[in-house]
Amino acid sequence: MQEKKVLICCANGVATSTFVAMKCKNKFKELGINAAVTTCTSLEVKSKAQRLKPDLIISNVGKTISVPEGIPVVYGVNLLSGKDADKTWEEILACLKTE
Amino acid sequence: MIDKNLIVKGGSFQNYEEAIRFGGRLLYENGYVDSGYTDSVLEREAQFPTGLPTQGVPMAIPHTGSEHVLKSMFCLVVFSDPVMFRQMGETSEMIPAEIMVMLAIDGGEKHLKFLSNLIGLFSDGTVLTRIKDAKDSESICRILKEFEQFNLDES
Repeated sequence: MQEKKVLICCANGVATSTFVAMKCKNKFKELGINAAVTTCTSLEVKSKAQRLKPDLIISNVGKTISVPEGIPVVYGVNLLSGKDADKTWEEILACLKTE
Repeated sequence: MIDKNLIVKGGSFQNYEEAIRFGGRLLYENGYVDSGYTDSVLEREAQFPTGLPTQGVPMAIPHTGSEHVLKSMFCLVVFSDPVMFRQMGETSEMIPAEIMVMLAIDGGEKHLKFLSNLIGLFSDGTVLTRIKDAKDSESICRILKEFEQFNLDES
């Protein structure tokens, strides 16, 4: 199975993106999903996404970040608050399904 | 990684700026951040708000980059009355925060463990409710210690 790539961004690239990255790593491990998780700041996200070509971007600063066309963006705040987190996981997992 | 000087039960604040100044001063006075930290957090909060609609007990997690942080730590304040924070992300929603966890993160390797210890706290409504209802800062420390232990066992 080809490795999937997930890019997670927040304002400083250090706090909330790290939280979400850890949640993702645990979840992917639990579900047997082979995916690499990278974090960055919301300013870096465009250039980083161009280089990395992730299958999915999780944004903690909202969905209106500037990203290369065609890469889905999921809003990650529910993973921090726990409220409606299941819906967010569904969105994330849908983006990582292998065709 | 708990400093009981930074666990406060019953702070009363007019607005989030006051709450952040209070937490920032505690972190500064106890040697965890430099004198520019509080202003940096306030600036960041205005641009990227940190209110979270956590289950049961809404909270806020003000923080900033690692440049003003001398040593990773957090300051936890249980408010006497909810303090309004804007919700994280691009909504105009306001969060009546009952707990503030102000983060000082130095960006080193150890901060990963520190953050992972706090993750469950955020998404576990029962822990937040226990912290909110705890009668004093000593009891809050005990709950946090229990929780930290739980996380260490898991890893």
